[in-house]
Amino acid sequence: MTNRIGIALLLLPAFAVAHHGYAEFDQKTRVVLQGNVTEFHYTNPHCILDFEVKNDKGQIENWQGEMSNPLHLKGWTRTSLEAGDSITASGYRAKSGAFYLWITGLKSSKGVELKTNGENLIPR
Amino acid sequence: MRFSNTLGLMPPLVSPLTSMSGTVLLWVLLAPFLAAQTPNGARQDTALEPGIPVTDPLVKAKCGTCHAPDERGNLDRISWVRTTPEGWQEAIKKMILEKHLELTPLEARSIVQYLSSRHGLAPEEAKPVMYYPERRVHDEIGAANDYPLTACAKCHAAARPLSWRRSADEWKRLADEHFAQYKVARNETAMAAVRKAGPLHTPEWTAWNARSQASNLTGRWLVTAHLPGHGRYFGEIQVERGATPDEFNTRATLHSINDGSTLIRTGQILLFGGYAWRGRSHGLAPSNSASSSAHPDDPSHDAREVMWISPDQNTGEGRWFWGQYQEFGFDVALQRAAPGITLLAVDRLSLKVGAQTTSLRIIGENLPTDVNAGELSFGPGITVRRVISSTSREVVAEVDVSATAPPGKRDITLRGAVLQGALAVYDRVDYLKVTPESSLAAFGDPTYVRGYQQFEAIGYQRGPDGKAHTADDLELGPMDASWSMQIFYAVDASGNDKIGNVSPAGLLTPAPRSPGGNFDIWVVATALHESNQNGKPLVAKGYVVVTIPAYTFDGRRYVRDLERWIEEGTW
Repeated sequence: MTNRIGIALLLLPAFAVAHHGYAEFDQKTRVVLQGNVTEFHYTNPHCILDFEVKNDKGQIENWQGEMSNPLHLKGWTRTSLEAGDSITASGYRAKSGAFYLWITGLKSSKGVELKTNGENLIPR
Repeated sequence: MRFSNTLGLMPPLVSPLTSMSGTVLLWVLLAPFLAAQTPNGARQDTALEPGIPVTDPLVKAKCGTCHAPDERGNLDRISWVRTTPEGWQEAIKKMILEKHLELTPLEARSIVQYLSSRHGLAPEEAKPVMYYPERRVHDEIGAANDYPLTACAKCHAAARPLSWRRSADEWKRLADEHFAQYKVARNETAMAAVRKAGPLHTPEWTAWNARSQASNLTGRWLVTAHLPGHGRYFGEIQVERGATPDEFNTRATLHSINDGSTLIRTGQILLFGGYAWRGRSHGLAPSNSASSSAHPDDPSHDAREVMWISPDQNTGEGRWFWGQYQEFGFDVALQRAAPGITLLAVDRLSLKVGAQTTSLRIIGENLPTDVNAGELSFGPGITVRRVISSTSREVVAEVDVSATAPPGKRDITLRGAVLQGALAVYDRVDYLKVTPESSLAAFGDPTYVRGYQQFEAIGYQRGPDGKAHTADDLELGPMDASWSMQIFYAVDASGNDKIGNVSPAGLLTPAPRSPGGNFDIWVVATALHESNQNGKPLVAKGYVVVTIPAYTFDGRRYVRDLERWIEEGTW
């Protein structure tokens, strides 16, 4: 934490990496999930993706994925991901066991893609 | 945060910054006076961009000792920048704290008044960034997509530079100061963008200078207002002259459309630049409401007032706010009382197709007392069955909505008076949106009070394109909902108590003691009456970061404000 962290209400993307750490995630195990978008929240300080994943037993799991903020998702809009889009998301799952993923990579059926670039997620 | 207002630049608590004397902003990104003056007062770009001469004797006396004058009456740096009252106030505070400028409160106020008027923004320039002094939770995502501003928005609101106008040389000096003080990388793209967005000389400013005159706000104004969580209000404000030409006293009487309670607020305002209303008011106890002063969201709470008065001085809009980080507030619209019929509000915001014998209460001023059904129109598909009652302040009518009425906004008309877009006709509620969509709240600690957040669940119809979540969607107003909370990463609700609770009215109250870390949570609204096509209640959620109220890093203590962390006792 530096003396330049900020609250991301008025578009302070520094907050996105400063307001919490990533110790809550199991960063030793990379997870890849395939599913369908149920809602995309294009918000500060994180864009959040709600998506459904069918597990090995055929049951639906409701996952939430945390991404960077709109400022870092350069070129993205509120409709870059929409309900029904199929996606492949990769990243690190919450240690708590919740269906929660820190998304560091994503591809959608519409061709939307995220790739990591340092701490930022930059779409290609 | 509790600070005294020793500078006295404005009425008490007129701006968020006013309350921070002695303890001010962690970093000042706009410092028009930061660099020392050139030895002879000459400026490199004087020949390229004429400055705005300083004519006020007090400003020349207090500022001219460091900001050297030139032969045209310009003061170094000052003559090449313009900004809002808050911008000038902040600049003067910086001079006081860093350059040891000595001013009495009255002198400081006079200087802010002069600079805000003669080196201010035109109303048209100020309006797009009014959300900044109004301390609104405002989504600047649009600005984020305007790439050049992202360089600024990485550390502060884009509204901050957009609240200033500068010569090209002054923008460069600002960038140089950022580079020197904050180690911000030089960004020519950003510089080109701010030079284009905020030039010193603009057609708007030229026109306003020619047009502006001493404003007289005195008289009776009609008011409509909305306080999230409490609903809509209507009423009036009586404005009277104060001790000086730029001072006014106010007395507002507001009536709740929801519960009929009456709220009386009195206050004082200062008018800057002929249109910038900055004031403070406090309410008397509501006459017949359950509200109590012990409630943080009490509508009678002391409030700061920031309003934008239209150039014709006939309307105004803004926010009256309070709270730890100004999280509570009325959204207010004013219009001058006029002799004719004025329609102010209707007690419902939406009607469903097929609704029968629905009673509507139209509120206004100078309404005819002999209204018949044929004179009152709600637009296509809505039939007025009868007028139940009519007085000079309200008309109550009973209406039917056709099953084939086209969805959309409707105007209400009565004998030539129009209330535009007052009602929405809809076939179904397609989705809810929790407002604000993203926000923050703060835990308490022994020193700092909690920061709350009030939510509403707004209903929407999908709009003409048939697609939800698009720009043409029809807003239907707040919907009844139950409220809950979900902590990110949590597998269940067992830890919710350490975060706080959400009231049945959608008020998030964080825990009184900080658990020592920030928490990302959802505040979830579940509709009580509206379901999706599968028969399940509509659900929506708002993203909240519940933060610690303060922290210490590297021996320095920081406290939270709406936009950023502020180091105690320093800029």
